Amino acid sequence: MRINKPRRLLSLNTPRPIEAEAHADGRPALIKLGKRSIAVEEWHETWRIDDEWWRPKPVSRAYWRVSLEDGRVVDVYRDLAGGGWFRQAYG
Amino acid sequence: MRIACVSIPRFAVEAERQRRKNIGARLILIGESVVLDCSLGAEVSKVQRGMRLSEAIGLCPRAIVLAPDRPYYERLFGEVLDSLETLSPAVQAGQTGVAYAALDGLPTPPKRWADEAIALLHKRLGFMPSVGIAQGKFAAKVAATVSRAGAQKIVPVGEEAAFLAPLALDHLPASDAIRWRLAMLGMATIGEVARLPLSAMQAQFGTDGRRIWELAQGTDEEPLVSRIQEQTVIRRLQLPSPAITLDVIAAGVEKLVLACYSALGGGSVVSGRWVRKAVVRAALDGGGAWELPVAFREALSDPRDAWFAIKNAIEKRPPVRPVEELEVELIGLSGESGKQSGMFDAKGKLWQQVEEAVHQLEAQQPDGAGIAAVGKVVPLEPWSRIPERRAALADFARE
Repeated sequence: MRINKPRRLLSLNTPRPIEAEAHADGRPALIKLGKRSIAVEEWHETWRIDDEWWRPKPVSRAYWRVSLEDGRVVDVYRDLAGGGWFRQAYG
Repeated sequence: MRIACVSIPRFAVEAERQRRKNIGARLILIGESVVLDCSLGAEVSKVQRGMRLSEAIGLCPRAIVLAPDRPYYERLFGEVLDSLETLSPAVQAGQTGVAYAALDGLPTPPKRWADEAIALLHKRLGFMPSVGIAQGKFAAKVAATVSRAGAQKIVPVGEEAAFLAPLALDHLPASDAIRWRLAMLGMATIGEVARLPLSAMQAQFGTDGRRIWELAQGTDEEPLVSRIQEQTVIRRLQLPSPAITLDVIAAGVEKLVLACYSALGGGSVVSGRWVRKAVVRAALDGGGAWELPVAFREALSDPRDAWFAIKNAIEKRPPVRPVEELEVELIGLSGESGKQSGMFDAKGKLWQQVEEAVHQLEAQQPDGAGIAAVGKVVPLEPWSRIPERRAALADFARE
């Protein structure tokens, strides 16, 4: 009989920290992906997630789906609770 | 539309008098910081609902003060509505103690309907209501309000305006500010408002003015909306002595949760029905009530899961005083969980092909060390709004 090893879990869609510059109204203006800084060309959508407010570290994020000047469409968010910008696939 | 209004004034007081026979003839104030309800004697002493309780006690120093038990009042009022539904198919709840019933299409003449309603509520629940019958809810309610307990007032069709005309402005559903302004304009009766031109009322009071003017004319087009009776399961437990410790209370609630689920599923432990929400209530020692609604994150069919969620909620917000009686109500019952299953959950043909491919890859490994590059997406919280919570990648392992 084969005994399976305990399963190792890898988190999917983990947010990756990025550097970004924002307009005065909070919209991302410039995003640094790798070593390249790429300007945001278009803002398609924005939404907020406020969750787990009962936990010590609540989740409060402002997401943007943006088009970059190199043609890529990415989802990024600003962590409103802990600060900082992150890139994350939101599907 | 012919509508009957059944009114039980001072409903909370009457409800308390029913279960505490020893307070029958006493002055009663019900409230915590403000007065929720008061007996007729207290009203005569100028006590008003919404008044600060300390002020009311000052006006009625000999009154009995009771903590409000809203769940009990609502339950009792629900029984009033249930009773009226045996007389009319369309019954709407107004404020607690006031109900409307549609009479159109019923074979019973209005007078006999009113007599039957009064007799039924008196016999079944011990209340002595008044009944008003008119075209429209407003005139029916006013007719019930001006009638004494156990009496009825039937306003003939088309005579609503004439019936309302001599009555005081207090009957109109107007704000204090509008009433005050009408009084300043020298108006004291509904008939005086009815004689004003509509344009003047609208100019002075906007849409509220139009509504008041129409009501004063005896016109009330507001439809009667039948109550939607949601199926619920309720179980109650009278404790032999007031429970002080959380353990005893928790044990009682657990027993009730199991009993409720058992009632849902015809006695089996796992019911086969899903529940979205539970409400735990307690009658407290010395009067008053405690209520804890627990909305489950997803519909639950297993009483153990429900109990786990309820227990956590109770530990966070336990009753503040010893508990005399416990009640658990399950609401939001459904036949299915509404949860969408994953595409590969059923292990269909496609999944078998994946397993076969992995098996072949494994066979190609020289020492059977396993293949690190093959993983399986495992749903964690697929309903979560937070992307990283929804799924994880697990090592592929064939069962």
